[in-house]
Amino acid sequence: MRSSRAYLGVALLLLGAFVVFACGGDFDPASKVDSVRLFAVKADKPYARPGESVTLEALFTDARKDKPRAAKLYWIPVLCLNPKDDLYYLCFAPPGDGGRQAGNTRLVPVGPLADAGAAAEAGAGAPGGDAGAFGGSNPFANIPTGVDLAPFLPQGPTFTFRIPDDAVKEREGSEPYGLAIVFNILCAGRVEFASRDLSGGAQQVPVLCTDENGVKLSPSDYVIGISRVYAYATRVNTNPVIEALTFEGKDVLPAQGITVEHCTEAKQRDCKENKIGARISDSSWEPNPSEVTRDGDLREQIWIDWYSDIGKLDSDSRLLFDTREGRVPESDVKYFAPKDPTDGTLWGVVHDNRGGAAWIFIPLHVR
Amino acid sequence: MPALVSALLACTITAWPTVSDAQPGGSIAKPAEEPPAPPAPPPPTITLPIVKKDEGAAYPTQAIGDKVRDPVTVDLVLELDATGAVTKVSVDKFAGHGFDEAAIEAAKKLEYEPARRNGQPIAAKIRHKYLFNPPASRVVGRVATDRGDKDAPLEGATVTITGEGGATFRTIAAADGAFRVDDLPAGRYRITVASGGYVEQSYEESLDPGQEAKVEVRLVHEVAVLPPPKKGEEVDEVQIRGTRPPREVTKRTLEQRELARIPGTNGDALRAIQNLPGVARPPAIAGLLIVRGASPNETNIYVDGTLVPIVYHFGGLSSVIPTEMLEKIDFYPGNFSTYYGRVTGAIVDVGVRDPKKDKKLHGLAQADLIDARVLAEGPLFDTGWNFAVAGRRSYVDLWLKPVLEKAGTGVTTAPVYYDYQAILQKDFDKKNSLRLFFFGSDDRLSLLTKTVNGSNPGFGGNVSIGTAFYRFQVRYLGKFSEDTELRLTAAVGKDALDFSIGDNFFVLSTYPINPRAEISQKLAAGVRNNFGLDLLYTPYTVDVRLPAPPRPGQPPPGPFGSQPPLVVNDSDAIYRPAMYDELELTPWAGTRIVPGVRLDYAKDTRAWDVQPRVTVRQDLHRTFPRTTLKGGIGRFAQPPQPQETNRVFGVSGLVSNVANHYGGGVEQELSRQVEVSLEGFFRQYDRRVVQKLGNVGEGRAFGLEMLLRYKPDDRFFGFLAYTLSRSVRKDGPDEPERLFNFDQTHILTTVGSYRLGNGWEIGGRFRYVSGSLNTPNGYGFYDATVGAYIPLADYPPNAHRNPAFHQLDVRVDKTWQLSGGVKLSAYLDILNIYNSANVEGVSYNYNYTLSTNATGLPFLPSLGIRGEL
Repeated sequence: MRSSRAYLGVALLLLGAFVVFACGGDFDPASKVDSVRLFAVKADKPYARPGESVTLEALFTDARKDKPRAAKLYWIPVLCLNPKDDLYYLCFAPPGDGGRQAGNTRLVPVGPLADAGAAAEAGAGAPGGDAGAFGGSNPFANIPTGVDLAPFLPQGPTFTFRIPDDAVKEREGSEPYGLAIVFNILCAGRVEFASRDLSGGAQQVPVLCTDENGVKLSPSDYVIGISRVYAYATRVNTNPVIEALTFEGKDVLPAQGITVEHCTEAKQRDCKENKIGARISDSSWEPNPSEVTRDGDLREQIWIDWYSDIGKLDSDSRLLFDTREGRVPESDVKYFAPKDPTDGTLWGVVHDNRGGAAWIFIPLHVR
Repeated sequence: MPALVSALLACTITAWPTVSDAQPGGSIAKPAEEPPAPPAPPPPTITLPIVKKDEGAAYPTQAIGDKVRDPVTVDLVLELDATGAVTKVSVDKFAGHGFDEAAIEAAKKLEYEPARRNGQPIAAKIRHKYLFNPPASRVVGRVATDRGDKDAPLEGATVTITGEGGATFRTIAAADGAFRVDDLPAGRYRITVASGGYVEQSYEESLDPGQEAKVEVRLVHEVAVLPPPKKGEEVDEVQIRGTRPPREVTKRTLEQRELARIPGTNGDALRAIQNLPGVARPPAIAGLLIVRGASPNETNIYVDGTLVPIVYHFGGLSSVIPTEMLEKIDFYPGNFSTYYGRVTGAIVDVGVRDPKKDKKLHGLAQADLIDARVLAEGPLFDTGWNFAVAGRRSYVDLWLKPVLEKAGTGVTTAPVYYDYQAILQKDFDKKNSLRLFFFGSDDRLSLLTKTVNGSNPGFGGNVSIGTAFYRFQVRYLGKFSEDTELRLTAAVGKDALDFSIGDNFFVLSTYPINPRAEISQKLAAGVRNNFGLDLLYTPYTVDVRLPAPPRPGQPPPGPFGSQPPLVVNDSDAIYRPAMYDELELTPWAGTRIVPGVRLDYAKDTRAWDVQPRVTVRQDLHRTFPRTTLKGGIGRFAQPPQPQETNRVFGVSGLVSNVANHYGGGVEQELSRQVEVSLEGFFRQYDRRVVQKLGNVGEGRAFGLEMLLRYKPDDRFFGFLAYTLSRSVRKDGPDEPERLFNFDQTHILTTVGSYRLGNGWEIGGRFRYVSGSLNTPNGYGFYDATVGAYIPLADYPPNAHRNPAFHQLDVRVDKTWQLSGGVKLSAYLDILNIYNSANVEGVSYNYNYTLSTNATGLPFLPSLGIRGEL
């Protein structure tokens, strides 16, 4: 059957790309933190029910050496509800690019904006030029580019909103669900709407992080975040539980952190390996219901992302639980201390593949 | 051609029986009836009419067209007046096929000396017969040699013509190589031309009554194709080139030695296809056939007319049928015959050879760094059946498993593939043969990746790919008569695909049933009709749990697995019957016109696709140096793929994709060994299915192809293939036109291989290909839910091209001829000998702010050894 060839081709291409591109450049790893970084946003209810209140919490840091402007986390107080095919960029793409009108995407103001009672429906969007990217009948539609949006945006690590009662919609090939997408921006500068290039395609960044003169800042000064919260009528999901962070197999007291010897070797590969891991509760490995299963019921896939602002980790991410195999043995990472004594932070962010997240961060002391 | 037949004339007067004499033209007169007893006295004196003039009867044209090969008699009754003139002719015994009319016409011109009674002329009524013998046929021709750039007639060659009954006619070629054999009864003949020091050649020829068959024979010196098995010399065992003119505009055929010796292919015949004009270089580690700017799934692969799902094992390392089993590979890059359908791109039809019929057992074993294979063949006792069995297994797993495990990956099943073939074949007589063929392939890989891909965290964990298929094929070839041939093939089997990543999977099992029948009927001289049925019924079950696939040209939707997967659990059947009819017209020498039409029905679209096609070939110069113009136009339909019509992944109400092919070119012999072909093509896509959107896409692919080929001789073979092409797509009326993902502007491949002697052969392949397309990514968004950056993709997509690809591959072979008919050979096939850092893609850092080129395979030698009996 031809479909088998098509899918096999895709599979082999993916695998081929994985093999070829895995051999790519010698870049700094994602685990090395030396800039403004947004690590994760977790929802207190990764799967919420319609009408429920959900609180998002962000984990971020500013590890720049020079900080001419402080980095702040701003939330875009508009829910993007059920964009067509769940495509995040259709939240801000104009109708001509398959945006709100085409997909019946709803923009739902949150917080003070919601008080205006304007649940901006799709289609009344910005003409693609100066008006705010999240156009429509919400107040942003009238804010031109170049205006500092900070006064209009909630700040801080948390953001709370309510899942609309009618968020859940029928889907072919899936249990009915609703998708609420929330955008935020961690910016060491001013936040402005970006002008839209009419010939630039659907995926254009809607907001900018600029200096006082409106000059766009470098990627080390800002992060534009996307968070997804799914709404199901009955299906639930909880965030994974980190029981402890381990150092050489022993639990670490979070307040105490980890203390390691600095490296005295000329080459890092000769430095002492320090094994660091995370102990996740068995209950975190939740069932992952599906209408179709094979080889028994499916469960979540859980992995951990590691970050450190000093030293080096041998791996950015490790798989903790496999969908079928369960807990993965030997999931510790190796930490190599820097050559000079210093203090820093180690972050570990655990994700499951259904939107659940948890994190832990501890002091890291290099003697 | 002699138009007249000898007529036998026998005359009687109703009351006065007479016997006529023999007539001019070799007619023989004999009495048709016994004369009646004379009356009682006085007996009158009766003199029978005597023929004075008989021009004979012309052999009717209709009878020639009807291929009447036996003698035919027409009985007439003639009324003569007293002058002896024929006043009335009537047929007493009809023969049809135009004989009656021819006899009447001839009888009207008869002139008689009148009958007489007692010396007085009288009117008479007599019987007359015409016997029509089929006109004799004739074979004329010329024998030449393969040496030099000019015609080199071969004097003294023996031409033997053997009829089905064993009648043999011989002649010797004259000083100019010409020969001629007259007075051959109509029938089927085997024409054998032999001369000392040259490879004997034989042809089958069917002669119609009065037909003159022209045969141009070029004998090849024995050394050129079949070198004597001197110690250390290579022996080619198969010549795969067919001689019948193709039904298609372009039919590329490589000979066995070319297939087995092209550097960089490990001697794999199907990989050799990737060097032909019109075939793009596939991405690294991807065994794809990209032909004339078409997507890989627009090319169908057949094994003797039976559709198979894949042609290459993992990563294109080798093909699923080993070279040793092949008789030929027909590759049609476009404008293919109505025999083929259900795709808009190209066709590869792999012809599997019959087992050897020399009543001896043969064996072969070969091993290289990738796989090992064995083959055995010979007679099956004294049953008249011949068999061949073969198998191959890779051992990539032996060295890749430790490598992967060292990299921290748990390996459940290391990459492994195998394939197998078994054939039973019997010729019941010269006209009927039956073959049973069972073949299949299996590839599987299962890993547990403990690290997580930073860009696609969902793309990890348990990763497995398994693909397998098998077919049981029955083929019957029969000749019902001189002009009627029947080809029946029926195949049943199973395709299985099992692909999973994490909690996503695609499990598909299909059970295709594919009977085919084609009856080929010669309707008249120069007119042959091919009518066929091509049925495909495929029950299937599918379990899918995957994210929605991105559409072509769509911006990055986010990390893999960041969206809830879509689920399909379905069982149904694909039903796609088709029929076709095609005429092969040769109205005059050197011209061949093949019009045809194919009707395809697809259950999923509930519609018929009518696809008229025509190809034309015209020899401007039939003898050396041959010049042929060719062209074709046709409509090709490809039903939507199942996932495109699926309610979850696709959209309902689709119709077939359509492509119109236009092609034209010229073939020119430059010397006895060198030929060049130049061809232009244009393919226009309509109603192209775009995932989830419907038949809204369009597209074009066009270009020029050139093949300069030095055909294999005793020392050298080589070719230079160049393709200039452009392939674009449009994914909707308001979407911008974009370059097709696999578009490659320039594709240059040059191959050469030379026998040094003493069993040594060295060859090289150089390729220069435009870089693959890429869409640069930049710093964009951060998916904070899964912890991965989403790149900002340049728009429009595919607007940038990687640096050009160039690579030289070298192959060295050494053959030893051992005692006992054992041949041992070894080869070293070195990929990328100057270690060109060819760019296969772009690699990015975790947040897409830095990038570097990702390069493909480095210098990579492969060593193989092979023994044959």
